[in-house]
Amino acid sequence: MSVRIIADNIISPLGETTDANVESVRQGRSALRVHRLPDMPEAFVASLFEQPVTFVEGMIRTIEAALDNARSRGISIDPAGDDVLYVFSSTKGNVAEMQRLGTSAEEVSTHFGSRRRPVVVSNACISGLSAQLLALRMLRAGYARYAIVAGLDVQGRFIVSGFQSFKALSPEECRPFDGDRCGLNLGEAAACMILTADDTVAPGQGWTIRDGAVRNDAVHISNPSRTGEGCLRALQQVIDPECRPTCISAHGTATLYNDEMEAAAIDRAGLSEVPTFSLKGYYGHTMGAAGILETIITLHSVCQGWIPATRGYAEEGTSHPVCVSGHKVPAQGRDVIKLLSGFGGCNAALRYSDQALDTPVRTIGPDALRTLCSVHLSPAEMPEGMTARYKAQVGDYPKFYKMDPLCKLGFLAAEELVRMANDGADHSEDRAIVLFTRNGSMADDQAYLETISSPDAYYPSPAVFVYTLPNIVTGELAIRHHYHCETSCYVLEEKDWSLIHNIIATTFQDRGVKSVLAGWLDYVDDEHYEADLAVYEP
Amino acid sequence: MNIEELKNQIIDALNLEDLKPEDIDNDAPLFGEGLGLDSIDALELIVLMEKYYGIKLQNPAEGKQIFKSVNCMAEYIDAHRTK
Repeated sequence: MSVRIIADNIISPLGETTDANVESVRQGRSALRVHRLPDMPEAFVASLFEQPVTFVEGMIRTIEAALDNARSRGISIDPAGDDVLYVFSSTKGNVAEMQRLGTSAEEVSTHFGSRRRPVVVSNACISGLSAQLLALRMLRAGYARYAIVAGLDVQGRFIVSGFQSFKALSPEECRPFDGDRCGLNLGEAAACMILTADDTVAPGQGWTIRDGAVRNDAVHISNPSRTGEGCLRALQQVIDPECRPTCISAHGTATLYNDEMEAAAIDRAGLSEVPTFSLKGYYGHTMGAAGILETIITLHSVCQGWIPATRGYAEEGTSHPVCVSGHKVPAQGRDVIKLLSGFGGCNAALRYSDQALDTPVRTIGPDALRTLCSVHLSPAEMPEGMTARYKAQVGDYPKFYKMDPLCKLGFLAAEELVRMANDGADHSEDRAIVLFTRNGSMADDQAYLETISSPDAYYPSPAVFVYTLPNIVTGELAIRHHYHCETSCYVLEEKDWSLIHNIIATTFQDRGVKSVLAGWLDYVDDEHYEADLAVYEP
Repeated sequence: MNIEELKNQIIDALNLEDLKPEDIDNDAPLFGEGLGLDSIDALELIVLMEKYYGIKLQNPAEGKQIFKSVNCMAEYIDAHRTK
C-alpha cells in the first residue's frame, strides 16, 4: 500500500504558495534579515513574516491553501469528513498566549468542522518528519482516508531568548556545512501536505513516502551525538542498498555540532557522495514547519530536475566528507531522503520516491497489543513527593535534580517499569518510547518565562529553556536506559485511550521496534499529575 | 570575593542538590571529572556571572578557561565584575 502526497502548500516570507517558494529557492532568494524585538537586548537574524501571524490563523491558512491545491488537481476533500485525520507539527505552538498545544490544534480542526481528535506531534525540531511518519502509519493501518499534516511555529521573545541563551544563533546569515559556520537563524513558515493511501484518488500522482524512522542518540538532551549515532540508525532503516538516493535534504542548521554530526552519519551510512543540501540559508530554522516545508521544496525541485544550492556554503567544514554545493546541481533520479535532528537526542529520516511501494508493511491493531507490565503514579500514590521517591528508590542519578517535573515524573515511572520488564535481554536497539501528554511542558514554560519576565531581570536560563520542549522526557529516558530506538511525544487535548492505543500499535510498523514503553504522562503541579505507562509487545 | 557564596550560587544554579559547598574543592576541575557537569551547565554558569556579577561573556568558548576551577572563576569575577 502506497501513501502518497497529493497536495501541499507553503506560506513563508518568500511566498504564499508552494510554487512561489520553490521559485524563490531556485533564484537563491532568502528572507533572512536582522530583527529586534521589544524588551530584548540583542538583535538577531531571522526569516519572519512581515505581518505577525498567530498559530491558529497560520495553520488555517496553510490548510485552506493545501485544500485549494488539491481541488486544482481535481481532488475534492471534505475537511469536515470523519475520514480525515489532522496531524499538527509544532514545538511551541501558541506559547505567546500560554495556550496548550492541544487546545490550539482543536481550534484549527473544529474550524474545518472536523469531529475527530487532532494529534499534535511535539518532537522538537524533527516534529515535521515525525508528523508525516505518524500520518503514514495511521493511513497504512486504515484509520483515515486522508491525513492533513500541517506545521508551524511562530517566533517571538520566548523562543528567540532561549536560543540566545544557548548561544546557538548566528549573528549573520547562517552557513550550513561551511567551515566558518557559527550558528543557526530562526524562521517562520507554515506548511501543509495532504496524504492518502487510497489508490483511487488521483491515481499515479504524487510522491510516495516509502519509509521513515526515528532513532535516538541516547547521549545528551541538547548536544547531538558526535558520531551521529541516532541519525545513522534512522538512515540505515530507510536506505535501500540497491538504490542510490538522488539527494539528501539535510537538517543543516549551521551549528557547529549539528552539521558535524550529520556529516558523520551520512558518511558512515556510505552516502558521502550523494548530493546533500540544507535549506536553512533561505528560511532559517522554521522548527515545527521545517520537516514539512523542506520536504515540499525538496520534492518539487527534484521534480523540476534540480537540487537546491546550500545558500551560505562556500568551503568544506566538517571532518567527514559530505557532498554539499553552493550551487544548484542537476537531479538524477527521483529517490529522496530527508533528515532532521532535534533536542532530546531525536533524529528522523524519511524516504520518498515516485515509485509505488511494492513491499508489504506489518500493521497490527490495538487488540494485538500485549501489556508486559504497567505503572501508575499520581499524588495519591506518591504522597512523599517525587524527590523523596527518587532518594528512596534510585538515589544514584544526580541528573534527576536538574530535570523539570514532567521529566522527573516520567523518570520515576520508567524506573519501575524497566525493572519490572527486565528479562535479561538488551533492549537498547529495539524498545521505542512513545509518550502522550495534555499539558506537556506548560509548568516549565512558566518557569522559563520567569527568567525573562522583565528587562531588569532578564536572565534567560538555558537549563530551564531546554525542558520547554515536551519531548525532552523521552530523551532523558533514552539516555538513562540507553535506548537508541524511536522516541516520540504526542500532545492530545484529552486522554483518549482508544487513539493512544491505535498510535502505539502503529509504532510496530517500524521493523526495528520489538517493544514500546508508552502511555500517558501529564504534569500540572505537585497536586495534579499522572503517569500511566506500560511496556507493550505485539 | 566570598568563595563560599560563589559555591552556593553554583550549587543553586546547577541544581547540585546532593552537594554542600565543602564538597567542592577550590582547585579541582569543575568539568570533566568531579561534578559531572555538561555543556548546559557551562551556559548556566555564564548566566550566573551576568546575574550576580554583571559580567557579559559573549563567547562561550572563553568559559573553558574561566570555569577550570572555583578559584579560577573567583579570580575572573574579581577582575571583571561590574556589580
